[in-house]
Amino acid sequence: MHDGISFEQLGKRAVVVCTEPFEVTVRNIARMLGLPDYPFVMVEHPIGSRTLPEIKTLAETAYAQALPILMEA
Amino acid sequence: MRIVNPAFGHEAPSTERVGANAVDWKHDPIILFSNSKPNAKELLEGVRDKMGAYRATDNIDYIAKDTAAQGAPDGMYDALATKYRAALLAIAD
Amino acid sequence: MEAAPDTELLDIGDLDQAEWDEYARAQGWSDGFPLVMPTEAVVERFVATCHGDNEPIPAMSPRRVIPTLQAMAANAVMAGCRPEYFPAVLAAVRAVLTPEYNLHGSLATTHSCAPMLLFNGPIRKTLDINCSSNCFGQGRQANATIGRALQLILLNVGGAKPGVMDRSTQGSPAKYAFCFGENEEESPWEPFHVRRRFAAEDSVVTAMPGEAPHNINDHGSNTGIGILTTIAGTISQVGANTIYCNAPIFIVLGPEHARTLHRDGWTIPDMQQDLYDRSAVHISRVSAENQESYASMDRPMAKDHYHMTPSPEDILMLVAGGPGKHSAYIPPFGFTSACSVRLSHV
Repeated sequence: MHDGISFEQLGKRAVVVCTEPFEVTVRNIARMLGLPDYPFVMVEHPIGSRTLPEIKTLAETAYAQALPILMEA
Repeated sequence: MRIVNPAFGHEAPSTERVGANAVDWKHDPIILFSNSKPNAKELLEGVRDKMGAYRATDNIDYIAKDTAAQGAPDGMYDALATKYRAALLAIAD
Repeated sequence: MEAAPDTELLDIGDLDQAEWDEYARAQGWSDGFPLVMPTEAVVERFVATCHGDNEPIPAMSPRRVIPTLQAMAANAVMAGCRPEYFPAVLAAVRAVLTPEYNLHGSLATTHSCAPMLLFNGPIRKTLDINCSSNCFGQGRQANATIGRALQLILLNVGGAKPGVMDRSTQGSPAKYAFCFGENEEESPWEPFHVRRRFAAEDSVVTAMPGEAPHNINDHGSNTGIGILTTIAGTISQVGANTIYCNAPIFIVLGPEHARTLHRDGWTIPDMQQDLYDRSAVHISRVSAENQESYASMDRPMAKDHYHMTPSPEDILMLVAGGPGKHSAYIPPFGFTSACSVRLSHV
């Protein structure tokens, strides 16, 4: 999360992908770092223990959510 | 009865959002940034594959920092921000 | 998580113990146990023990607020500390705020680490910190409440609420309080803080985010090399963060093991080198997926073995405990250092 906000502070768009149980943590870190409305992409937990085909499905979800964030003016 | 608030603290100076520019999704260079947790790379590569249906992917690169538990090394963000217009980061789980 | 409250003093009316307890729990201030009420007058007695200590305190993760002496003292009161413990609590706070400690990472991680506090020097006697039998366990006010005070400060000032900003998967009993002292009097070697270039008469706290102590039982070995063989075998763990992370580990020798090792001529550097050489995990014990994962990290494999620390010097050794043939090791959160701070007001 710090990584994403570090990019934003350098004037670049950054989209962070996290899993559902960590939503509250990510929102809090964003608020603490002064970006309370920082957008992020959320996918089903977990990531680490999934098979490659399952990861591909998660990637499609992440892609669909990331697109509007990256296109936002 | 008066008590001292055990949660009291002074706010540290907060950071401001720099006006981040919109991204030209079809052309701009993008960095995929992994925190090295298992499958983070695979997830980002899956997103890149999806992008391949719409755009060239030869300027979508991948990088990993050594560990999920620490910040990136000094200068890494600056170097990436100079080269890329946007970043997609996996913090995984 | 709440933003930093803007009121340092709160008027809570006249509450009896049960009402206060309910009130404090409703605020989210408790670790589960009852708390002592931090009245203005009592807090002032604690703060007075640090009178003249003007060294600034950095912002505390994860909430990133700058703590005041009063708020930290209020947590020490709530934890059950005596006023004279407060300089030790304050030094512990400074130790965990040392950048190399990586406080934010140690709280946000899913790992089970707790803030381990090790005390050296005269403060152990002044505050009656247990360094002998059951030194990691219950029963002594200083150990229980200094460790608890630090945890309450991290919860209430830092905002490390379990399940929200403290993301440990399982946590650990050590997260209630993890505080002990070195048994310098029964150590045959120089005290730990002296080996870190402090003066023997300095009082020093060393902090590291660590797992609860793991026991090392060796009743059978009557030689130093035998005891070291048991220690090396015990710490060679596949599931330890240190198999792929760069961080120190603590070996806490019981006095009886220490005496045997010293009798056989072992110095601290010799033991560190021997344990480094022999505390390695053979590749056959590591899953194929993990081998691939570790290969991308900065921990090269040597002769088909993963070493448990980056160097022999990262095996930190000291003596604590009482009679009996047990020692302990304390594995770290992987991305950290053991940070030592001298107490300034004792």
